[in-house]
Amino acid sequence: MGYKNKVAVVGAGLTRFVRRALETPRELAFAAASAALEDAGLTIDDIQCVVFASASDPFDGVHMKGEYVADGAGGWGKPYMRTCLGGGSGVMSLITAWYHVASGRFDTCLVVAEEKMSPAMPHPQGAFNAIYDQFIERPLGVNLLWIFSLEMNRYMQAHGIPMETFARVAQKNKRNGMDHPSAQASIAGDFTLQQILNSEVMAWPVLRLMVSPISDGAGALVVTSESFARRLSRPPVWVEGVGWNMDSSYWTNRDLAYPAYVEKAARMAYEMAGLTDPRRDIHVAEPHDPFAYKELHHLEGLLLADRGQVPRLLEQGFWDRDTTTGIPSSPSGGLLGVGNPLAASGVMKIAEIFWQLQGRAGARQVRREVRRGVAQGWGDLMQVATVAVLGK
Amino acid sequence: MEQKIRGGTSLTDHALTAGEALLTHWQVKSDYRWDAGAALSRFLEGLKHGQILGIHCPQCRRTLVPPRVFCERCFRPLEQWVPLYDTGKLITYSVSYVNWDATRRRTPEIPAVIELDGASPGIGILHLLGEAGGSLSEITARLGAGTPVQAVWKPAAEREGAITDIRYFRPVGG
Amino acid sequence: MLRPEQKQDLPVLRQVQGEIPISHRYTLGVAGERFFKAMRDQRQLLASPCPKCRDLLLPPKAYCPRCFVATAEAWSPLTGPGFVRGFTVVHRDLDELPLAAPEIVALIGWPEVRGGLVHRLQEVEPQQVALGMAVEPVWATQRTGCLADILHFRPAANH
Repeated sequence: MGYKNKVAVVGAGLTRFVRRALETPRELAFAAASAALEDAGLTIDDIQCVVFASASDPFDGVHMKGEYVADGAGGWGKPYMRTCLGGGSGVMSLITAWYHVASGRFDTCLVVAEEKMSPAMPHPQGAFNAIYDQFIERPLGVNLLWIFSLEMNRYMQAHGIPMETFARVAQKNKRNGMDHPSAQASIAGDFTLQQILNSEVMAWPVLRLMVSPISDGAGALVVTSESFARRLSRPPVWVEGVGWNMDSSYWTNRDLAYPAYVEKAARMAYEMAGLTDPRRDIHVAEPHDPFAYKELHHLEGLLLADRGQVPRLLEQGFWDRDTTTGIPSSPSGGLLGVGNPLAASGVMKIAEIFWQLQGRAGARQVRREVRRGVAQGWGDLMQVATVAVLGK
Repeated sequence: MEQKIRGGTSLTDHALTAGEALLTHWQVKSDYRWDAGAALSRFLEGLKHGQILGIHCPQCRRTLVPPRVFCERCFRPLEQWVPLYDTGKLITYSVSYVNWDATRRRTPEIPAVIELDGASPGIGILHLLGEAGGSLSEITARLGAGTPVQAVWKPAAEREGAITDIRYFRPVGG
Repeated sequence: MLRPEQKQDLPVLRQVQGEIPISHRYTLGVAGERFFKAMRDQRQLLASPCPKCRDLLLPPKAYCPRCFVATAEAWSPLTGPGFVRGFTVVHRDLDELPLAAPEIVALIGWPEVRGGLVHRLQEVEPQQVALGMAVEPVWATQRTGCLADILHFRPAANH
C-alpha cells in the first residue's frame, strides 16, 4: 500500500483500574508509560514521538488535558499530540502512532491513554449529557443511559434476542476479568445468570450488571518500525491493519439495530491486512463492551458473525476463552470485567491482543492457537468505530 | 515476561471522608447560551404554532427531522421545508429508572425514538412517552417497535417554541 | 450555508440556555499528598530529587518529566529563603473590577531547585519588589494541607 514502514507493538503497560485513584492524571500516565517502556526494554531516550489519548476533558476537570498530562506521558521536549474520539480514543491512539511510524517519519512512538473520571461531581453524567443536542434533546431531561438502552431495545426487537443472552455476555466477561491483574474491585466475579438478570433496572433493558463502571486508569504501548523492532529481544507483534469510521451525529436517524460504521472500519482494516475471511483469519477478538449488548453488536459489525446470529454462537461457547473452534471474545474481561477508564480501556484491549499473541496472557491465555487478533473501540455519540488488526 | 501492571491506587470512601486523602474542590462556571441557528430556530418556532417541520433532500429523497441546513449524506444545502404529522410510530423505547446524577426515580421515564408520519422510514426524533402504564411490566406489555403514537401538546398559550411544547407522545389504538 | 437572498426569509432566531452541571473533587496525588502534608504537619517545603539528572523538583513530582524516571524516595526540605524570579502587580479582579489595593503575585524559586512556587507577596510595597529579592513563607496557624497553608511570602529577615 506504499507505507514506508511496517509497524510493530513491542511493549505494553497498564495501571490497575480503580473507582477512585489516589494518583493524579499525570501520575497515572507515568505509571502506565514507564511500565510499557520497561516491558519493551527501552527508556524515554529511545522514544521519538508521543501520542496521548483521552476521551474527554470534563471528567478530569482539566481544560486542555492533553497539554496538562503531557509530561506524565513522556511528551516533554518531544513531538507530541493528543487524539480524541471519545470511547474510540484508545484504539485510535494506536492508529495515530501507526501513521507516525508507517510514514517513515519516526521509528518509535510512545502511546499513552489516560482517563480519570472520578473527579466529576456529583456524577460524570453531568458532562456526558452534553453530548446530546442542546436544543431539542437536553430539554427533555436526558441521561446518558437512554441512548444505549434505546439502541439495545432496538437490537433486541430486530432479532428477537432474549435478556438471557445479554446476561451471558456479562457473565462471560466478568468471569474472564477475574484473571486480569488490572481489574477494578467488585466488577469481575463469578455471577449467575439469575444474579445478572435480577440486578437493578437502570434504563430497561439495561440492567446494573450489564453496564461497565466508572473508572480511573491508564494504559500505554510502545510502537516501533520493523527495523527497530527487529533489534529487540522479544518477537514483535505487527499492526497489520487499521480502520476507522464515523457515522452521523443525527443518531435518531440511524439504523440502531446494526453498527454499519463498525463494519466500514473493520473492512478498511481487514483489507489493509489482506484478510478475505475474517472468521477464519481472526483468532481472538476484543470488541468494545461498555454494555453487554455492545459486544454482540460489535462482533456483528466486525463481520465475525452473521447479523442476529451472535446469540446462538454465544450459547454454543463460540466466544468463550477456552474455545478450541470459535473466536474467544474479550478474554481480558473487557470493560464489563476489568473497568472502563474510557480511552485507557481501548489500550487495555490492544494490550490484551498483544499479550495473547505473545503467549503472555497467563491465566487468561486462550486455549486455541492464535496468530492474529482484532481490537475495536467505539464512542462519541454511538457513532465512531476504531479497529486494529494485530498479528504475529 | 509477566504483564506489566503498575500504579492505580484505590482510595476508599473512608480515606475521602475522614480527611486521610487530601482533596481540593473546584466549581467550574459552565452556563451557556447556545444559538439554535437557522434550521432549528424555524423548527422551534413551528412547535410554538403546533407544527412539526421536517426538511426534504431532493437528491437522496429523504425527509429529515430534526431539520438541518445541509444533507449530511449528499453534502448539499437543504431548503425544502415539509410539515410533518404529529402522529407516528415507535422505533424503540426505554424505561428509565435513573436520573442524570445517578439517583433513582420512583416512577420511570419512557424515552423513545419516534418515526413521525411524513418523515422517511427510520428517520426518528427523541421524545418522551406518557399514558403508557406505570410499572415496567405494564409498559413493556403495551409498547413495541411499530406502536402508533400521537403528540400531546401543551395548550397554545403555554407554548414557547421549545421541544417541551410537546409534553409527550401517547400510544394510540392497538 | 445560508445564501444572502435567504436572509430575508430567516425565522426568529432562537437561543437555548443551559449548563453543564458538574463540579470537581481532585486528589492531590502521590506527590501532592507528601508535599502538602509536610506543609501542614512540619511547615516544611519539600522538593523531590531526580536520581538521574540530580535536579530537585519543585513542586515535587513522583517522576522527573525530563528523564522520565521515578524520583528518589528521600525528598529534600528547602532551607533558607526563596528568591523572586518574576512578579506582577495585579490591579483588577476576575470581573475586571478595581481591587481595593494592588496585589503582588510572584514566582518564587530556590537556588538549588528546578521549578518554583507561585504565591502572593505581602508586607512590601510594589515599588520595592525586585527580581532576586529574598523572601520567606508566612505560615497559617490552622493548616489543612493546601497552598493556603502559606498565607503569603514576605521579604526574608536578615536579607
